[in-house]
Amino acid sequence: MIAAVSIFVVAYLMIAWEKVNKTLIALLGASLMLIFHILPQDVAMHHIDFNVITLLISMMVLVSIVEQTGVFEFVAIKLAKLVGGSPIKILVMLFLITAVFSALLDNITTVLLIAPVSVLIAEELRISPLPFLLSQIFASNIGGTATLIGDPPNIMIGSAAGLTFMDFVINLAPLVVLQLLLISVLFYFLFGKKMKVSNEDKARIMAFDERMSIKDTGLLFKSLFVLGLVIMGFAIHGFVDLEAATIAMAGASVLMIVGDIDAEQLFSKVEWSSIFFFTGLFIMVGGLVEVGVISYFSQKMLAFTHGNVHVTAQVLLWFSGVASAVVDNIPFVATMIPLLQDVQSHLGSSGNNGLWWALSLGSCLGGNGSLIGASANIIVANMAAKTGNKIGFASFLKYGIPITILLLAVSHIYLMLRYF
Amino acid sequence: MKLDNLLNQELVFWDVDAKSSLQIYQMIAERVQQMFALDEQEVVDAFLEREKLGYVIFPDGSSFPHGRLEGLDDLIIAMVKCKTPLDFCGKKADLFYCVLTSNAGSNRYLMVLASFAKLAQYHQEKIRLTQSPRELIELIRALQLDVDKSLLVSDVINSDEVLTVCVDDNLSVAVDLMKEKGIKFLPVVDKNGLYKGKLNALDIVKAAYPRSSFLMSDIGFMSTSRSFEGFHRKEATMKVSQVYSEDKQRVARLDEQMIQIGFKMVKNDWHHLTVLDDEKKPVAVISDRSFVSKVLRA
Repeated sequence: MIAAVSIFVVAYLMIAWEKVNKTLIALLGASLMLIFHILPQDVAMHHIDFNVITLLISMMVLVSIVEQTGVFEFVAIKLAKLVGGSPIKILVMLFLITAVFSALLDNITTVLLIAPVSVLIAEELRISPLPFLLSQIFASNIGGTATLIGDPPNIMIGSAAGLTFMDFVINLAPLVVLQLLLISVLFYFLFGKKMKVSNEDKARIMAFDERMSIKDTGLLFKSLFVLGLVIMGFAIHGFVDLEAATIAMAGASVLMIVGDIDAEQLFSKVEWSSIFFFTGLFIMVGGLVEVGVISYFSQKMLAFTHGNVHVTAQVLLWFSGVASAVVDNIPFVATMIPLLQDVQSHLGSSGNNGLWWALSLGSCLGGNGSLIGASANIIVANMAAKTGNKIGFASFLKYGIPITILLLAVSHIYLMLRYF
Repeated sequence: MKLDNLLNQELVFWDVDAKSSLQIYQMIAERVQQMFALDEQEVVDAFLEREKLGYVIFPDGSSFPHGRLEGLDDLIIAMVKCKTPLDFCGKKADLFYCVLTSNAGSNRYLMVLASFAKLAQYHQEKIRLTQSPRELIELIRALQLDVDKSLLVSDVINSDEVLTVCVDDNLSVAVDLMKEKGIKFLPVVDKNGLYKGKLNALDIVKAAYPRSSFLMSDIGFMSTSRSFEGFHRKEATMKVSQVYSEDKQRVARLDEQMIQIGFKMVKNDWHHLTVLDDEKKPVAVISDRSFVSKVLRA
């Protein structure tokens, strides 16, 4: 047990330290678990959740194809023109569309494609792009919380707890919609009056021709059609007894065939580093499960909450929220999943998924807490720096901490009202 | 290229008992026929043909027979040392440096002859003291004689003063210089004239665009841009330091071989290299265009 905990803690600290590639740390940690016979290889393989791995790869493939069509830029510009070039309305529109894309595709790709457009729009309007970028960070994390495929923690939770796409939509999407409206109103009042632009500036935005963003109309229609089918498939995968990964894999294969996509080239765009990171993590956490560490901590947690499911959910929500603001939420959730499974078996609350939703909300929304809380935050900050607009760690906290507290508080109330 | 790499032990004939140059040519021709499948008589004729124009014999007894052969795409070298010197209209020769090449000939052929001349001039006694073909080749190898000299950066650059811009200059200085001189590359230096990096025309064009645009794959939806329109104002206030690329790679030394420089340029798709002196100050710029005109078409 000591060896397993030591390997895990050192690996976790090194991942948090961010000086060595986190994937390599996870793979080395997994290797050490096997080398020290903490768990045998066949058992380790069982701990790798191939549902998660397949869903991630398939969604990466689908998104890579959709990305090539230019639809992200098209929608962003179309919306900016739809609101007549008004900066605060553009901000709200891009905030909402970032959330929608993040829920249905993936939040990193979404911010990678929407954020540059919003900086360009801000520059043409001669206003600071920072409110746009900040709002998109929050939008991507909040939007991603709404669905099974929106954020990697949800993919892991959904797979481990047997929760379907529609389970997430029914249980989390209403809350997410409420939170999005709340934050958009907040941004409206925070930045609305500061964003003054001339008629000429607005005319510049109105002169954009969004149709020119579409690079391949044929592929666009094929992508939207297949993507529509995949989302419909997600909606019914629970009823037809298929995993979401199967639906996504079928969709990715079909789109590659009908879109005449060079498979080799496309596969090279899959973030293999992330996939191997997950693989290593699953094995490391598997090691902890096998030696009984997870079971030990679940009992400690139950002792702390006196076996009260309400209190456990509250602790889980806030603890996950704080932890996810400080460390990568993927290893955090990977560790929490077996712990929560153990807690549920002791509480006998398997019929109530409130604890899973608490973990999902805490880990996804907690990413808003700091600049390093989620990958999308770091990506937007790097992108901002490249355009000469620095988002500092401390300046982000000024928005991140109150917004995260607000989101977690709303989630807390929602969970208590709906599940306990 | 080293001279010893062109020699073949089987074509070195030591302490030969020959009475005439014809015998020497026949001996060489016979071996050349075996080794290269060339017509023996044609080889002999090639040497005789050249001999008709006159002998090249050094006073110390070295002779340089050579001939050109139709269809030969090679350079064949033979060396012969006779036991007794042969008489060529009063001139005596016992060492024969024989070269066969194509009708078209080549620069290298002349360089080989020049190397042999050098060998004969400075190392004649050592050659005579060698006892066998192997010993001779080892001697020549030890002498490290170059057949052709490498072309160096210092051989091709212009001695004119190189144009540079300082990191603290306004961008408009660089733009004006490029426009006036019709150039698209400028080495960038610090206040002391030491090399810092490079500035090319594309760096300046890039400065005209909004920085965010380069995070997108395309900006086809824009027909105009505030940044583009305002470039005139921007270039007057922007410093070269904001636009240039720091660089330590795209440089060359004066003693570097041009063949290396060309390889680096092609391999890395570099169009310009800055030549630096020992103090790291730019002394010239080598462009892909100058490479073609001064090296390939020299």
